[in-house]
Amino acid sequence: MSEFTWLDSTVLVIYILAIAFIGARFGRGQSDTQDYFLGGRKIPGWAIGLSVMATQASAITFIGAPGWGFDGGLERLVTFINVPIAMAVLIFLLVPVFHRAGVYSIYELLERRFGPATRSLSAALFLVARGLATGVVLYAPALVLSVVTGWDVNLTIVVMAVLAVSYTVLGGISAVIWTDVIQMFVLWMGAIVSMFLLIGSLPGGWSDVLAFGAAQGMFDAIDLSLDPTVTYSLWAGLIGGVFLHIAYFGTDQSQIQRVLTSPSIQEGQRSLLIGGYLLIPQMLLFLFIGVMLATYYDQHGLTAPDNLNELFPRYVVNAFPPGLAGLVIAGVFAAAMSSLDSALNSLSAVSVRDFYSRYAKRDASEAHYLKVSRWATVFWGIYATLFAFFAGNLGPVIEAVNRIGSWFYGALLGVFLLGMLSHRTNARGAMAGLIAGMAAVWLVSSTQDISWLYNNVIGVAVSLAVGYGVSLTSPAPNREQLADVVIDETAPDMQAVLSTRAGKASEVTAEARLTRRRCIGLLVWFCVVLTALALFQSWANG
Amino acid sequence: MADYALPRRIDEATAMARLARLGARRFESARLGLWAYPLGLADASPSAWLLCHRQARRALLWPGPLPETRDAADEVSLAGGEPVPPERVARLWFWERLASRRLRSARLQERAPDAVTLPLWLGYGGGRATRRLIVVSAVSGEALVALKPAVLAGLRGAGEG
Repeated sequence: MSEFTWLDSTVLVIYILAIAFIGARFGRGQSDTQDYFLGGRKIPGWAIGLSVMATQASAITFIGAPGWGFDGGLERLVTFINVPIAMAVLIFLLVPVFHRAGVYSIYELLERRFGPATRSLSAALFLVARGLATGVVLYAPALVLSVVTGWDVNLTIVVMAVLAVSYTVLGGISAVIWTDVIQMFVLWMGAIVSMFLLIGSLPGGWSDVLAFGAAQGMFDAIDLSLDPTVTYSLWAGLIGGVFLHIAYFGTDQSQIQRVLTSPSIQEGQRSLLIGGYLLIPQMLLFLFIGVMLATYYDQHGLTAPDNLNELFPRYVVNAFPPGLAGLVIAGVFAAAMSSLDSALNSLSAVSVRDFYSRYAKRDASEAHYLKVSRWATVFWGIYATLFAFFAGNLGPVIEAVNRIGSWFYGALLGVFLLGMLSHRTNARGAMAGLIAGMAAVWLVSSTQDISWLYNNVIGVAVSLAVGYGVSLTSPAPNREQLADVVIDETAPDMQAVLSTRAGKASEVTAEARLTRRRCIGLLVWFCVVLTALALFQSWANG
Repeated sequence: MADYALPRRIDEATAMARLARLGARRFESARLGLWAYPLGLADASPSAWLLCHRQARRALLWPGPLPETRDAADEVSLAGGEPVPPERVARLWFWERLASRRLRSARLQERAPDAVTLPLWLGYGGGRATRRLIVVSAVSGEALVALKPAVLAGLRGAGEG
């Protein structure tokens, strides 16, 4: 059994300094907020996709998911099984609208469609929800560092925050995305190395893991129970999870902002394809590490720590050879910083675009807004740090983050859908829908014992129904408010005129059928994954 | 025929890239008729122009003199319709002045508007069931959402004509 040696520390420190250096270099030549928040709209789709993946594999996944796998096997995979469907909806519905609008913050679009009050309330909700979640994201890796080094956890929180804030302040979204690309590979390498070392430490290797997992029912990923109180049933994952992920990837500025950095709608859609195909395998990898750890603990007669978030890092430090432990812990840092940096940049974007430049100082120079944006990043870093001090009392970390989001995101998605799909909804309806949707989620989650995965469905359904109903009590919006926001923006007679004109016009691109093919590909992938899991579960149960 | 025509500064290749980014699959050039209202000191020659259309909820600003008339070939001509009523022009000017501190010293001059055409690039997106129109200025390259109702009205007129 080894400790965290000087070699491990050296690997870790070199990695952290390298990331900070690379991230800071992106700050050179940035002259305006389009560079800082949208990377000049020049970042390729594959890099954005890997960045989204890295954020998803944040430290809370890296640490929390092996704990899930240890505790419940693959049952919680249903939370992610819906991601291909969610990505298909985003590619087809939301990305073209957001990209075409040319906005920095997606809440700007709500002002065009519904007016300033809806925009400001939505942006404020995002700041509260993402600000709190960022505190949790900061707490998780700090806990790991605390376990590894023996430092006080509050000290490690401060160290992590200073590091991530410094390179995000200097490099903006470009630093966020390109450091995420590097961190994505380090993170996966850390996870794969862990998996092979774990397998090597078991006398029977894979057969031990499969035998133990099958005997303990850990491969039962699909629970067909119709009971809404069963948290991880297939239906909760499919119905609730789809809305959870559409809302998360589509209405959370920290996610969708990166898609807006792409040079075209097609590139933005391509970035989501990567997550659509790879997020399930990634979650499967981390859950399997948890099953392997359960096998290891069983064979060695060990007792798991009270806090399952400490399970994986404790194993790494105690069982891995010198140098490799440092590499895997670097992977944890990679995961943590890739989540933290994107959250800080998006919090800054919303603060500056939706509040400062909207209400406080409307006519300032780009240099001024860039300076304010950097200070806003520092502010949110401090805010997240303070919240992280209290995150230890929120229970299992990964679920805490999702719960915070699920109070808000369903209602927010409902309002975006009202804006895009309905010609009749107006500002009054949008505000009513937003407030009623949130109130409904709060009421149901505090009085009923149903799966939290359904929270977003409730939020969306109530905000759509109330929003549309209340809209009927006041005049319909004018044509300009509908332009570029609603999907079907023109009357049937104009559709005929546009079709005639388009038929005579020159062709821009041959990618006309690309979006449809991409969506179909994701749906096929979803079916393949579901079938594979069902077959695996069937095999495990004899 | 319009008295003045603003210059087309965004070429076809640039426009195609811009429209592709905005989701267009087909594109064409067009000119939209607008009414130019002079801005400046009471008795001086205009220092800028407020470009208005009955169907547009925002006006555009053109600094300096309006360019001379020239022929516009291979472009869809979208009629500007009747001049905008004075009280509406005053309201549009009020909003433009509020939006920019630099404009606050300028005044709307009391004289008849001039007809002017604005060069545009029109993009057509969407699927077979639903077409979408994307309007991009051929002067600045910016998407002009506020002009879309005016362009749609012009396209309807061009189709009927």
